[in-house]
Amino acid sequence: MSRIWEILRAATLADALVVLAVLVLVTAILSPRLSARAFQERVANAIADVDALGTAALVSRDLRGRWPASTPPGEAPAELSGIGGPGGIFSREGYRLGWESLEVVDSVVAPPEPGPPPAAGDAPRVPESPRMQPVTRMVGAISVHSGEAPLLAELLAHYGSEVSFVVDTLWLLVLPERTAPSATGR
Amino acid sequence: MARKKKRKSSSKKKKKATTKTRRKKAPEAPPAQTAESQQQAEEPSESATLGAAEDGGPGDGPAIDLDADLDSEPDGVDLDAVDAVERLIAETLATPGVAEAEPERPADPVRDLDAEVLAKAEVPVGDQAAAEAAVRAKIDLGPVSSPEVRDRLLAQALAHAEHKDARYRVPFSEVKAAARWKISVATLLFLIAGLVVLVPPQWARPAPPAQLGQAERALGLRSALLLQAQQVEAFRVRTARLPTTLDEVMVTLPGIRYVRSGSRAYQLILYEADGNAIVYDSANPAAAFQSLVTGWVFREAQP
Repeated sequence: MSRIWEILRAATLADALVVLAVLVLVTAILSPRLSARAFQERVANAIADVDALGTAALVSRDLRGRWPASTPPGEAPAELSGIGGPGGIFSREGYRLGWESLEVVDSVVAPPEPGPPPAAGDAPRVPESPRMQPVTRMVGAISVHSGEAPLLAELLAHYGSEVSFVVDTLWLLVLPERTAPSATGR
Repeated sequence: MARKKKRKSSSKKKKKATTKTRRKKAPEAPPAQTAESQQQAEEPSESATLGAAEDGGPGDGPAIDLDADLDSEPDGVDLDAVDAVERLIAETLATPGVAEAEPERPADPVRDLDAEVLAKAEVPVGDQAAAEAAVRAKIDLGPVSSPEVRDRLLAQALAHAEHKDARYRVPFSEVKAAARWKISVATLLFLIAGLVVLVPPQWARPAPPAQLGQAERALGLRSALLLQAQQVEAFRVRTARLPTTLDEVMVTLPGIRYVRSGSRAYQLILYEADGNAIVYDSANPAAAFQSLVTGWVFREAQP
């Protein structure tokens, strides 16, 4: 310790400048790699959180027969309170998760209306074109809200643009009906 | 420049002379202090004697002749010490610069404390021995005044002086040259660091993160419009009417503008980053939306 103190006392301003320059150079070389590593860790965490939320939502739907209710970003649905709360997956540094229950409209063939029975001697009826009827169904969706555009782009690249999209600061993944979300990723 | 050099050389000479004087005086200091302390030790007796003489002293004490006392040699006086004090005084008077060059003595906390404690003690004058005992009990002079501590402090002081002398002995030109190349190296390193920050080389540059292309952005906007239209259509299926605003539907995506154009048709509008509008018209959806309908989340429901 005293040896170090003697060296420090003998150092001059020029020595301090050299040490400072070396530190600046090392920082300039390492900081991009360190920040890139931190970003990749954030992306990996976001993907893991999205997978966990998707799996939990699918399990909840299988148990209850319906998707969990929509919640604002950063808050867990009541059905998925086990993975929410403080320190949960819904509010992380750099992004917030949300859950959405969306409605989509399908057109299905309506059953033929029973008409009056044909009388004797009537000409045979011309078959009518099938009548379409709109019906609604629910789909689940996971949203990631972040001001970090590269994070959203990485999520879009991971899950693909067939089931997810980016608009503004939102990335939305529509869950497929029967497969886990990670199975659709590239 | 010549004047400056002269000034520098004269100041250096002064410094050397001062150092030499200090080195000469350093070994002699302990005897001088001893003589002084002996003189101080003798002074109270003299002052006491003088005080007693001036006050008249105890009535039955012997009469004191001051001149006779000063000239004569009383019993118990160390003649060598007196000679040493006289020699020291003579030397001091003979060299007038020494007193000026002598560094200012730092405040002696022990001595000051001694005077302060004595002042506060307020011991009766007659009980001098008790007062001294009280002061000594309050002030622990043992570790400070031990010879080992004095030797250690002296050794540290000498080592410090040697260290400073060694630094002064290094020629200034060598120091300047070393500093020059060190500053050059530091400047070069700073420049390299700046280059690495501004134009990072391949080996220092990590893989860039994914970026959203123009096509992906447009696809995202159309997907958002289509999904929002599905929410409006679901509302119409449930209520048999169009919503007045988007707040009535279950989910609203950010940035979408909703315009009703009658009781059966509506438009949803989103703007790209460059200001171009993408419009979804419920009465006549564009072909781009039709391809999304057949290829996206709705494909399971398609016949």
